[in-house]
Amino acid sequence: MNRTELESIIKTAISDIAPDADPDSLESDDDMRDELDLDSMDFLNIIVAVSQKSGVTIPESDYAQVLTMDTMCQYVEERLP
Amino acid sequence: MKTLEMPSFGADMETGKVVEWCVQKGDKLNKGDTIALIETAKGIIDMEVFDDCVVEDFLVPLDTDIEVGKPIIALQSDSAGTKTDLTKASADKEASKPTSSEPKPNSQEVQAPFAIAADALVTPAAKVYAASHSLNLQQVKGSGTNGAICLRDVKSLTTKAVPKRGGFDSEQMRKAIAAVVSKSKREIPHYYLSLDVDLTETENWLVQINETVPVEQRVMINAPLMCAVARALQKHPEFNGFYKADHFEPANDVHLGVAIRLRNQGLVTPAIHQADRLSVFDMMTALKSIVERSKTGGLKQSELQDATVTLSNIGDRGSDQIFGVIFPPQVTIVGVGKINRKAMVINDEIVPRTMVNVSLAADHRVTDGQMGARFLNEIQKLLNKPEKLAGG
Repeated sequence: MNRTELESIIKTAISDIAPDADPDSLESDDDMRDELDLDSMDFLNIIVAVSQKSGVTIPESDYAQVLTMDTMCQYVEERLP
Repeated sequence: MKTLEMPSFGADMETGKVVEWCVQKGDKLNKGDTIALIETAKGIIDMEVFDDCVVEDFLVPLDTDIEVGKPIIALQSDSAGTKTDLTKASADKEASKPTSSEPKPNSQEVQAPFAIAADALVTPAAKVYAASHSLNLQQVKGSGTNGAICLRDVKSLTTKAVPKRGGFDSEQMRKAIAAVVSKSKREIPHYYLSLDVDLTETENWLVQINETVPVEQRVMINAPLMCAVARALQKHPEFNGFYKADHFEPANDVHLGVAIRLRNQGLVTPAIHQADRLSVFDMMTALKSIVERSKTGGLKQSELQDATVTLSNIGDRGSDQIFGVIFPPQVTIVGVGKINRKAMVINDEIVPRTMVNVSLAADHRVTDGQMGARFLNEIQKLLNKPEKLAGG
């Protein structure tokens, strides 16, 4: 799984959870919660979708490390099975 | 014969549309059955019956704006009508014979092949839609009465689960909210208290729980907070109920109204029923369910009409504190702010703790500040022993 595929997984998850949000408008270092107006339930649902599709479980204690598109991709990439 | 009127699901609702009848004439209904899907500015709501009865007639057409309070369906008391249950008898009626109030589908579309389990319960409108889109319903789980597959179930197969928002008028919503808030502030003598609540024990306990469960079963910290508020209300019933006709009527159960912001589309406050009896795990399940249904449709009428108290969490929006306005005839609104790590002094030492501000706006006609302070401290007490919230 490469970076483009990871970004696609994350963007699809965002679109499913917040259909009116535009994940393509995200700068790589934007906090996606603030930029796309996601609440804590939305964010949990994105974590669930990304964990299930990538096979990389993101523990709660690491949420602060996956708040941007860039950091979430990097976090998952480094732990891909 | 009696009639049911177009219900109101909030002060900002003036009209609603019946987008689907989930029953047929002659169907026998039990209390709690869904009879229709009502489209409002806040999404599509399941309208329920509150007594056993039999469907006599539909009084309004589909997809037409109907004023709140106008009769939309005629019903007979249970004993008066035929005893046809809302089971296969009605669901198996031919999709090509919709009720008179339904739009007649293109006959060519209806004849298109589609698959459906032999014993499946499917509403006529759903059958028509499935047939016209050649959908396979064999694996579809129905969300209607007795598991009947409704129009929204089949539509979700072809479109993203985006609720219809027809007729939403943000200016109208602002005016309606202003009217309710003005009435509340004019008539209810509010008083306000707040307490910085230490969530450290709860957070530590949840980390342990969440490490042992699959990611989709994780419990958010909102769940134990809501459990603590609901159980504190059970112990302090003077904050849970309605002020009507110049006196307070405590409610028998805690139906916790949860303020849920719809993305740029206003606010709903559906109730989690008997919230004081739920474990944190059941509370998390209930919370996920109402948030999901608030955003994609499927809230039930009872959930929107019988909250006995309201909880508003502004923490996600990054504010430390909220002082709410009571939603009449309720007498209490509890506010939850942003969760922060803070330096606290405990046993003369500075230690980092996880803190959240919990506020109370309450009705001075019913309670006073001393009682409010005890109520808030009860919430802290419950959160100090989160493991006790694990059981219902």
